[in-house]
Amino acid sequence: MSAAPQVTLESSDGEKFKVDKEVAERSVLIKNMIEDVGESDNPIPLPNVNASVLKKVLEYCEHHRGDPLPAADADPSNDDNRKRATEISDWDQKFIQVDQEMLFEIILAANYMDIKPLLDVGCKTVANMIKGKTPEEIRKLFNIVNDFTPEEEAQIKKENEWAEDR
Amino acid sequence: MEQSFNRLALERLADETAAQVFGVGFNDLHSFITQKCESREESDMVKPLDALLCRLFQHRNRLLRLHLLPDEILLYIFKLAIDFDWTTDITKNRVIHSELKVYYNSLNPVQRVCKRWHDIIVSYAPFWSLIDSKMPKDVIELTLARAQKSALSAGAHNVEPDELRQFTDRVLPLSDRIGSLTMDHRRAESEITALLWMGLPNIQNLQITDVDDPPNFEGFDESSDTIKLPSPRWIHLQNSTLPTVPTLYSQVEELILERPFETLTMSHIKLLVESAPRLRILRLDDIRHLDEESLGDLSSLAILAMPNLRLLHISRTNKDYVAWLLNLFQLSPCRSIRIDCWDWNGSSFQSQIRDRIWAALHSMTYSSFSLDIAPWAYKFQTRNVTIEINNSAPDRYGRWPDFFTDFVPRAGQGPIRVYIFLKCPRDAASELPNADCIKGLQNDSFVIMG
Repeated sequence: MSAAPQVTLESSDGEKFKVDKEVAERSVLIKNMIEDVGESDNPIPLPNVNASVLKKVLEYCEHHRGDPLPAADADPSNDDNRKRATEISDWDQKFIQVDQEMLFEIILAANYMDIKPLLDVGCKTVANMIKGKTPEEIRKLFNIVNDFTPEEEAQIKKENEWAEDR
Repeated sequence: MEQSFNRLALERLADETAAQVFGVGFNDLHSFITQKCESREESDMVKPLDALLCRLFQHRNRLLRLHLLPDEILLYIFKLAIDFDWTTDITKNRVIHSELKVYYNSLNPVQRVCKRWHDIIVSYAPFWSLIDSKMPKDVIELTLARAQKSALSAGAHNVEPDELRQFTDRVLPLSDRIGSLTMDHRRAESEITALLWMGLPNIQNLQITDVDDPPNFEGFDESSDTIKLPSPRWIHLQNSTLPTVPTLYSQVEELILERPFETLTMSHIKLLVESAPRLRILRLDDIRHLDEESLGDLSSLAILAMPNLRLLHISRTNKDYVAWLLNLFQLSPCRSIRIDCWDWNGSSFQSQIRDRIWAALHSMTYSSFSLDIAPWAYKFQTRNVTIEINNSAPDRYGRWPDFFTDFVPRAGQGPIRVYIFLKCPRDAASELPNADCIKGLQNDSFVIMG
């Protein structure tokens, strides 16, 4: 029995990762690159992803290697899709339990490498962190500074007063 | 790494400087200054400093890893974080106008975090596509400005008649953009209702609640080129009178009748059959039932063909009415039938409708399912079954393993699929049916959810 075909990926800091082609092709970017360039022994450069992030991304792709790929024309208004809006599976939840820096790096990498399910997991995680919090709590959580001028802040408050008055 | 180091070093420096000068941390400077600026003079003196600080804060925020995310990803995160369902077109959201303040309030925390987040929320036009008679005038104008050219959803609710008239005057010039109209107005005069309907011919979604005075179309000429009635694709009538203008139903694909004021009679059904050739989904909820005499002899009814009807849901009515309706419609095009009535029991009722359903169905969604009446439900012959099971207690009946023993896939090509939406006590989970119960069924075609 012949071994599964493999490809080599090279991170921004020069580290090389040899992985099954099936795993690497969870990334639409890599899949398209392989299709465009053809099979080659040369490593595929990923200049926007460093080694520690790429390692995490590949861990995700390895775990989900057999999953059906999301349909490009999936109907987002479908009831099931809606129910799943902010639900994350148990494995994905454990996988994404990382510090904030790594979380945002994973989202950026998933966006760059075009791995929609991983992008979803990252975005849902951040969304769940935001949900139900006040602006001040959100600022504190992400270390964001309030950069509105007092006039701008007063204007926003005024614009929203009618909705706050229930 | 270099950027990360710089940011941390910069933050430390800013914190130390702020602490030395003002005695507070850098992040608290803004509120500190605002609190200190109680008098106008002080405020004028500190204003330039405050503006400078705001610019500094913006630069500092830009250095955060979170703010390396592009706008479209932040927007996607916000859509997920906001409690309303943003995965669907909000102009089709059926309850959103009734919770208008909650809806706009849900945008509030996110847009008040920082300037960038505010700008993302404000510049996403679909967030601002709801205008409503309950909104103050200046808010309507602001909302319209932010909605840019996106399709609008207009809501006319219980406000004073003058206010409703003013609102009508405001929305009519926007008729090209208004795709949805929600009316919930007990005191709406039929003239105004007619004006709204006739003035908004592009409405695709129409929701009418508590309108007992249907539009007065007396003298209305349907062939007129200048005045056109809307022909929505989705209509939801709740606690209202069923309008009898055929044009209204000419394009409708989904019709929901919920607690209509009057009993749904043969003439209503005929109106729908004749005027709504594209109807695919018909939901009849809490409809008044006719007495036995009015129903007449079921066997003498002519079956009405609705060739595009795919989903028929009938809920909260009595079994005679269900039987009457099921005997009226030609069920063969249906892919899903859901029946939920208060008096299920009675074998004659089951046998009355059983044959009609068995003959027609490819799949069936079935609520209020109890194993007492399971035998007729699970025996129907089909290759695709969707069953919703509520309030069942398999351990009490102890019959799960044999649940599908009598299931006979309809002869033909294609995979057999069984989907079960299960809503039963957690302790029953260990006794769930499995694919082995059904001959020839692949495990991956047998899904239990719940």
